[in-house]
Amino acid sequence: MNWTATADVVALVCMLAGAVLCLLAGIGLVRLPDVLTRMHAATKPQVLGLLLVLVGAGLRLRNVADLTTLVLVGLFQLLTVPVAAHMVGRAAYRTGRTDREHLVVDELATGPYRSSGRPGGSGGAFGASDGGVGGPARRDARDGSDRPDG
Amino acid sequence: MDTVLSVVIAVLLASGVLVTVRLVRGPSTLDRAVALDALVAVVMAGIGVLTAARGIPYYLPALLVLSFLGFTGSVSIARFLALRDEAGSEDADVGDDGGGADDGEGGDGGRTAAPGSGRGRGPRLHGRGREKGSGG
Repeated sequence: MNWTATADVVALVCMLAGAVLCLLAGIGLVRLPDVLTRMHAATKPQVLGLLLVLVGAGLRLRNVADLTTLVLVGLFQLLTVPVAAHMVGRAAYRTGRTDREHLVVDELATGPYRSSGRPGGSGGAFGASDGGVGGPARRDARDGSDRPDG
Repeated sequence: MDTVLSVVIAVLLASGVLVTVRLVRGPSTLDRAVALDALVAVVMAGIGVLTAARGIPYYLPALLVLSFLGFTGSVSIARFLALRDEAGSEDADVGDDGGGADDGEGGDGGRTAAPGSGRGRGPRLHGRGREKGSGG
């Protein structure tokens, strides 16, 4: 058994695993009840499933230029998916889409901007966050600096 | 070889259908954003499988473009659209939970699995392990 046949078999196994992760994400998206839990399901194929499929495609292609493109796609996905998930989760928190009573740790609620996240309590927080690019960015900086002591 | 590739393509199609179901009937904009991200990931996986199956590299720039588009779309939805749509609208929240009877057909197992969730606002169910896992 030469190494190309082995690479083909490994590529097929990788692609099958990636497809199964995509299917799990679909099932989780349909069944889970909350935005955060749906994110928990939906971010599996975005990173691990896609990386497995890319590894499979790279094992099938076996070309340096194509491998460079695949590595680029994988790196870009690894960089952008956590940022997007962070922003979606934060928007879910601020619009009250989370189940606050069942959170184990709620670090955003213990900070000095305790009232800013409640949707029914104060609409002014969202008005402030709508004010432009500078507003939410500054609040993010404060939230990040609060995290070690909170 | 061809059989395994057919199985992979069938699984990808089934997951695309499931993700599209959530994309259509997701109660809030953020659900649709999450489902759109997952759909982009499924399409990217499909393009990767297509590339590997045919052995031609011409679809690889489409992977880059799709990755960038998915990131941009989800960030812009989360940043501008979701906060503006649902700012202070608690009634829309309740309405979504009422409309969340669509969770009832699929989520009965989870509802019985978390019996201690009846203390607070009822329709918001489910335990702490998932929240913790999704937060990280």
